[in-house]
Amino acid sequence: MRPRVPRPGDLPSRLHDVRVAARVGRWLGVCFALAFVTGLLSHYAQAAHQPIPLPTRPVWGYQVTQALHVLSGTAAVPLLLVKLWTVYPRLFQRPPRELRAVVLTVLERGSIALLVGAALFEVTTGLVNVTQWYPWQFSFRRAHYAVAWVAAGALLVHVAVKLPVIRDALARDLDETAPQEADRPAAPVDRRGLLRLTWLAAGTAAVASAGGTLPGLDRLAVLSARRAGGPQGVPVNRTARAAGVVAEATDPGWVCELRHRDRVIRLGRDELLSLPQRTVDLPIACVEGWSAVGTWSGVRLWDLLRLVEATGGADVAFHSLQRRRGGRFSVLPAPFASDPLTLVALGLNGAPLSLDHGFPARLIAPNRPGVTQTKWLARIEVLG
Amino acid sequence: MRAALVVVGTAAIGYGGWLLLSTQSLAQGGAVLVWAGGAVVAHDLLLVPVVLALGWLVRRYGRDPVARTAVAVLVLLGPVTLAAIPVFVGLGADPAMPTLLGRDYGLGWGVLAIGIVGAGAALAASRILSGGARGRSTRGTDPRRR
Repeated sequence: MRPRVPRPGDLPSRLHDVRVAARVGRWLGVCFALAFVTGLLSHYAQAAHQPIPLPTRPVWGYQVTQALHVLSGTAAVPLLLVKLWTVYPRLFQRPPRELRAVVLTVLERGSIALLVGAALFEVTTGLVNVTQWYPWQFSFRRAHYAVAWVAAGALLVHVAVKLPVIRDALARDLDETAPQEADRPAAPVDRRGLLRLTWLAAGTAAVASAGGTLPGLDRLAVLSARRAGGPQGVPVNRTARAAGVVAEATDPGWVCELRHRDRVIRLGRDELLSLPQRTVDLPIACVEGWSAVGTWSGVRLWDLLRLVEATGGADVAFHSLQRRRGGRFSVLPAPFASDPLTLVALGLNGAPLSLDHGFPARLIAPNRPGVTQTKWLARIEVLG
Repeated sequence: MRAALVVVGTAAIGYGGWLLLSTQSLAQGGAVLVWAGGAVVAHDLLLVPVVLALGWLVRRYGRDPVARTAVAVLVLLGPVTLAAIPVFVGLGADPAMPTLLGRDYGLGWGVLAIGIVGAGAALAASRILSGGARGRSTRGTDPRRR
């Protein structure tokens, strides 16, 4: 037998069916939409300038939206694989001969190729990134963000092109066998069974790989890149050694500089400890989908800003001792700077801040991305 | 409605492409294409053919309920295992950060696999995976709902 290019009819299983594809696709769309919106939110929260500042409440807002980001992205893996498997025979459909039809087919197939490539790129790079493994030369953050727009756009085009087919497929009974498919072989599971397995697989993947993002599910998250705990009960995402700040952060002469226009004050750790101390319970949450609630103690940021005669309404920049890589600098929007829960933290869970958690002093604010909770503070500057 | 979706979708694709070109060097943009294209090739030419071959083997040699169990295990365990490849590889591990990649993933996968085989066998023995149309409510064309 001579090898030849397969035809759709070579894969006759009744599970390769548009009704299955449409039903899986609907939930895949929901997962992608959730991941897209929560991803946009995270990028906006990290922006150095927010034209419309995000709210400071709920304090767990970022924690929950980023858990949703990772959970929906992980749940999308089985949905995407099953969806692509059900429509796989269409890959071998022969192109039409008429010119106009050829053009339309090329456009449609092109948008699908874009969608599949972007979707696989997003889930693959996302899953690799949470393990802090970067086997590529592009910037994960920027590429994941840009390709998310491509995926979202290609998904909209795909839905628009397929809308009549989707409507028809969703309206048709799953169990019904059309006369022309009576000779197609039955699979060990029926279409309804495959859908049930798919929902279960999505739940399994979300819990096993990303369940650590939710309290109580950590023990079930046997394949999660993260686990609860860590020094002082809170995970560390970058150590002082990796940030290259050990010598400066442990220098007894360390001071934190506060600056507002020409007003400059320098405070050592003992001086900060002599100011009125506050204690707040706030989560620290990473875009990579881990979070932990800590009891933080330290000086209210607003009390410090008043020492340099800040009047509110201005954003505040935080510079770390860290010289390179993410987290060395952040801008806190004005509403967060004057929030009573925002601290320059000196202690965590009843003990002095450990070196890896940002000793001598770090920022902690409600509803903010972990990467912007600047550690190893060197300078705080009121902007404007 | 459909035309509006196409316009908005095309604009989003264009914006994403512009972001890629404007925030990444040409070499980095090329690497993005290699990863996206590589993922499509690996999926279409490697993963799906393997899954189809497994499906063919199950149909050819499997008898119910073993065949049904095999399909259930494939769907339930396959994707979560693929998604866990980065943690199995574990190249991001850092002894100074015990909460990153700090689990016994071989053991975890083993426990999960045993649980899934058990659940798959239980599902296969029930009518949940292959009940046909018998006595089920249906949607759309079902005259009882019209």
